Amino acid sequence: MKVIISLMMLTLSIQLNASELESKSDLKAHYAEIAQKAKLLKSVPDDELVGEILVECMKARKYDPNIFCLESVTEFFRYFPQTVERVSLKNFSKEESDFILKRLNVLNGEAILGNDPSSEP
Amino acid sequence: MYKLLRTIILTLSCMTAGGVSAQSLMPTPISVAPYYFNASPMMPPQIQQPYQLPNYWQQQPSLMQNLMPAFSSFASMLEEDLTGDSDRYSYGEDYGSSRRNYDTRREFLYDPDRPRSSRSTSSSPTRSRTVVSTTVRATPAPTPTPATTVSEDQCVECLENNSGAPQVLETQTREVAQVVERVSSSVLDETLRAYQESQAVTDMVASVRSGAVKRRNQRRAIVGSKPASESLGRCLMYVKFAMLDGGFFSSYPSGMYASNFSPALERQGFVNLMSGNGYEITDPKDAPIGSVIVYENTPGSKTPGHIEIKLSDTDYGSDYIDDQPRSETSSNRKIIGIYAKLPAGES
Repeated sequence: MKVIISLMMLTLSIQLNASELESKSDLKAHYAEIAQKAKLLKSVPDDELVGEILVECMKARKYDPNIFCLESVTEFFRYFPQTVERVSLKNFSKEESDFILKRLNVLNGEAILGNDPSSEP
Repeated sequence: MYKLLRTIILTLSCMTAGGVSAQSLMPTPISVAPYYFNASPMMPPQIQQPYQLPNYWQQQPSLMQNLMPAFSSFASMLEEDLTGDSDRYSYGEDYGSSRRNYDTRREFLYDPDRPRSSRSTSSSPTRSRTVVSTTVRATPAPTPTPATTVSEDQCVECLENNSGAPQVLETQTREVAQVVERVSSSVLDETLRAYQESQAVTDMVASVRSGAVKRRNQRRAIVGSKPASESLGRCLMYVKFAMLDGGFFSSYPSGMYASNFSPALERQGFVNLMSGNGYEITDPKDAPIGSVIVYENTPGSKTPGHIEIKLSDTDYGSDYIDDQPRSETSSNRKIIGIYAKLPAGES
């Protein structure tokens, strides 16, 4: 029992360390971790996981005002926009939620219309 | 480093707080597992309390027993150092013989019946063997061989002259190669410097800086202003305007996706510095100012990708300006090209 508790605490401490974002140089690793987690959305589209990803993304806002990690949930947002909106409102204030949805709209538009929609053939 | 240290400290504190000993952390041996899990009815019946560990478990060597050989060899080395015998043994005929090592270790082991002072007498067998070894030590050390040898087919003429020319030739060849490398790298550096200091690049960079605060709609029309750091997802549109201002294009180029823009750049004489043309610049931080950096999405679909221009050593811009290239702020954008337009004849 003691061994199990120790291992659980070790795992927990490692996870806590891994998800910390202390400087801008940690962004890439932080985003890669979020992207890995977002892959699960294709098989387990639950509110809790979406909420976790959004919270992790918002942690990066002070270093990346465009929170490009939302790229990870752009595809999910395309199919389940109302879910993302509901989860976002549940976890953040109205202002922050609006910001997240605005960024997701930008990233989604970029993916669909391209980086230069004016050159549409 | 800090994170690792903290993890170790946390783990240790957990273990200490829980009173977990090394014994309980040891994996359960396979032979014991059935007793714990009672997995098969064919297994012998469970041992009743008080539980007794099987022999295998009890016969695990203790920590001291595991470390004993290491202590013993260290003690031997220490003894040789203290008595000054190590030189004698290094080149002796009996070097490496198990007999000598055996005796040395036996000497060092504490024996209450044998006084330690007896070792210093020259009549002891160890001492007499030492004398024999001393004569062996007089054997001259092997002649050092040159670090590099030139084979016959490499320089027959030089070997015939026997004037030590191979070494000279080798040195000269190395020097010539270094000079060629230095000259070519300086030429390449000058070429890139000429590009980044050109008027076209200056105009392009200025256009990116002024354009990043303009908000353009999907039809390229300016509809307001925005912070320079805000991305609109229209990087290619803004880069096209900047390149038009720099004179790299005569008319607004086509293309919806940044990841597909490389051919358009190559048609205008831009070369990819990531590979070929004597360059291997894969990091945007090493690229010259004015470089056009093209990204593709990964994994899956390669579009839309991203495109940006290096404005300075600390600025990268397209429809927004950041102090890092996009490769550092995105986990799924991969650089596929770092483009620069070299002077005619260089590409």
